[in-house]
Amino acid sequence: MEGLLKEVVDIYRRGEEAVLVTLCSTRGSTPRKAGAKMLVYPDGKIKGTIGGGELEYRAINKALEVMKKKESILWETKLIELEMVCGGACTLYLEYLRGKCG
Amino acid sequence: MAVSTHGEKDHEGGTVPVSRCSSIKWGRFNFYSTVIFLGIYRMEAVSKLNQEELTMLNYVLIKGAGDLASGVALTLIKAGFPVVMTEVPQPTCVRRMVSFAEAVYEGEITIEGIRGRLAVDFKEAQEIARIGEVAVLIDPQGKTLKEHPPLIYIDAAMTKKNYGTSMNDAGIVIALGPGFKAGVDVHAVIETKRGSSLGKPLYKGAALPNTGIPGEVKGYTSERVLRSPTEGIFTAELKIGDQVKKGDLIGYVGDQPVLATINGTVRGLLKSGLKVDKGAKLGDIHPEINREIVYAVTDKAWAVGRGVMEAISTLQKKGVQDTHRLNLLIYRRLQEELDQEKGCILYTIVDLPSDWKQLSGSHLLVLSEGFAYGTLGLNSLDRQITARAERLLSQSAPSTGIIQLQLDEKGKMVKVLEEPFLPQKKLVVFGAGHVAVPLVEIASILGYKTVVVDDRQELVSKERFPRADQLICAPFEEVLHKREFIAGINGMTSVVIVTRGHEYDLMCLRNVIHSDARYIGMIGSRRKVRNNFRILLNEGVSRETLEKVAAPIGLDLGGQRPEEIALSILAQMVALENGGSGKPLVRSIDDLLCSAREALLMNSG
Repeated sequence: MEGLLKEVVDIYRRGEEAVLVTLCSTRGSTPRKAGAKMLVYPDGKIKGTIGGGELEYRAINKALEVMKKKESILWETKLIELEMVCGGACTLYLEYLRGKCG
Repeated sequence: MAVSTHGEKDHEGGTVPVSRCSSIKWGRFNFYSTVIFLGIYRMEAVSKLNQEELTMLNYVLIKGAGDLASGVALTLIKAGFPVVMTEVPQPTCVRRMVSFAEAVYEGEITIEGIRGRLAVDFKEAQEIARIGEVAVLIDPQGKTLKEHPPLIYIDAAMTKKNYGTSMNDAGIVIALGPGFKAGVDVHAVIETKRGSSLGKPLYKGAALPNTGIPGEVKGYTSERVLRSPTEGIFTAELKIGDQVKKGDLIGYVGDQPVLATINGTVRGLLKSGLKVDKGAKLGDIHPEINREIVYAVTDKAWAVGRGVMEAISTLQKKGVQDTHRLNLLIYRRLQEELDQEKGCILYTIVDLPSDWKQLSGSHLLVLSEGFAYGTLGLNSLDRQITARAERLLSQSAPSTGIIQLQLDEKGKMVKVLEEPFLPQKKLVVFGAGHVAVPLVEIASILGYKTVVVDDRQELVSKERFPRADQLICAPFEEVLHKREFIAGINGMTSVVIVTRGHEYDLMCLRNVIHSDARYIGMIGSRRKVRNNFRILLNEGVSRETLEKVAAPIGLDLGGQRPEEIALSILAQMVALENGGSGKPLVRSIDDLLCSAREALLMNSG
């Protein structure tokens, strides 16, 4: 987590863009608890984890969509839909970080 | 049960491997230099900050604390804004009973039931502002604006000329009266000339120029104002509120008398003893016998205050605050708070009605002292959140989640992500023997900041502890008596006592037992722990306090090797932090199958 925040600041400083994915709330059994964060870069690479698996995979794709639209979104999803065995629901906030105005 | 055999083998001395390649001397001197080094690091961090931009603190800074500025301050305080005002060392305002500038002379002044107090520094000013009072700072150079950029800055010095105020000074910049160009120097200008447009916010252009003729009161204009006949020191012979007849002596400038120009009540009067220029305003006379008038904030000041409020809400709705720039600063501030081992809560607007989209993604960061950086874009939201965060920060383990707040009177709602950030957890290890090595290694993988203390120079080396954040080589007694060391043992700290002898263990335990550490564990056989506990009981330490000490240390994993002991200690620490039982997650296959059925039922429903 510590390193991730530093990286957020650096992305702003370097004038780059990225999406910060935060697990906002979880219901039932999910791989990680609320507060888990992951950074998604324009090339689809990540730093940090929101628990791996199908959820993380879908979140990365969603983050790339956010990067195109340049607009942060709140994304609610059921892990059952994602065919994950854990069987919970969660809400993710995908924050679009942009290093330059405009 | 805890493993009771740990200590016997570990700290009986002699068998600890000695690092031969250590070229670093971790002597007593180095202990001090570590402390000094940390001090320098902090200073560097601060100076680096000054070079770049600082996060905008969530408060309103008003330049000037005269009667109009005070009317603005009162309006804002009543709307819930934290307000700090700056003044020169010798304010020359004359309406002293309704000017917070008077606090510069008197230490404090209450106007319309709101107290204003002189603060010695910004920290004190923040504390005053936080409780809904007006803080006044002596700051002729505008240092406060530079060092603690506010969210909203109001130039209310009424200088009639812009002395460097710019739109970049704060999220929202507003100026009172002529001399400023709205949309160029500042976001808005408030009209201060009496008339139909008094108090009107302008978002383009300038306020009406100063005519030099005071507004009319009961048929009098220039006559009601007292002006200095010459240059010199003003000495008052009367007080504010005194009744006068035309020709009465009011005071002197040098040896020249100042006489009342009309009949009435002295409403404003310059502080006695100030040096004035010829023609300077010395005071004014209200053409009525009415003592109450001196304590009444003028309709003009209220009108200007209302204008400022209107401008703020219009500008906030327009979204003039650069959310992007604010967000970068917020994340940096968050990182700095965590570096300083302070907790804070980050709020982010994650969802709102479509007509409020300009607030989307706004952040507000509430610090452990209750101050806030950034804004959610609306004062009403910031206020609710700051109060909520203060309550939350006093709890032991606040959790992340989404909260809903009301956005306006129509009942529109906003979703806000609430994320408490706690500083990095810390592990202090007394004793650098063989358990300490894997302990520090595993602890750093688990995200702990680690500190190792021992007096054996050959053991306290970077070679032995490559992942340790701090190595202290000094006698235990000396370290334990360092005030800053003990102060560093806070609610985020776990303490593991694994020294080479039970007398050292006892000394360490005795000194940390009353700290806020969330976990204290001590190695040793049952017998040795018992002996140490008995000594502490005799010294007056309560049973409840001793019950919190994990001794003999660790969970029962049955291991004997240093690595296994380290794991059992960390397992106990992690379980305590997370409220885990330390037992297996599933007791039997029946237990597992039963809970799976329940889960299925829950999901299909």
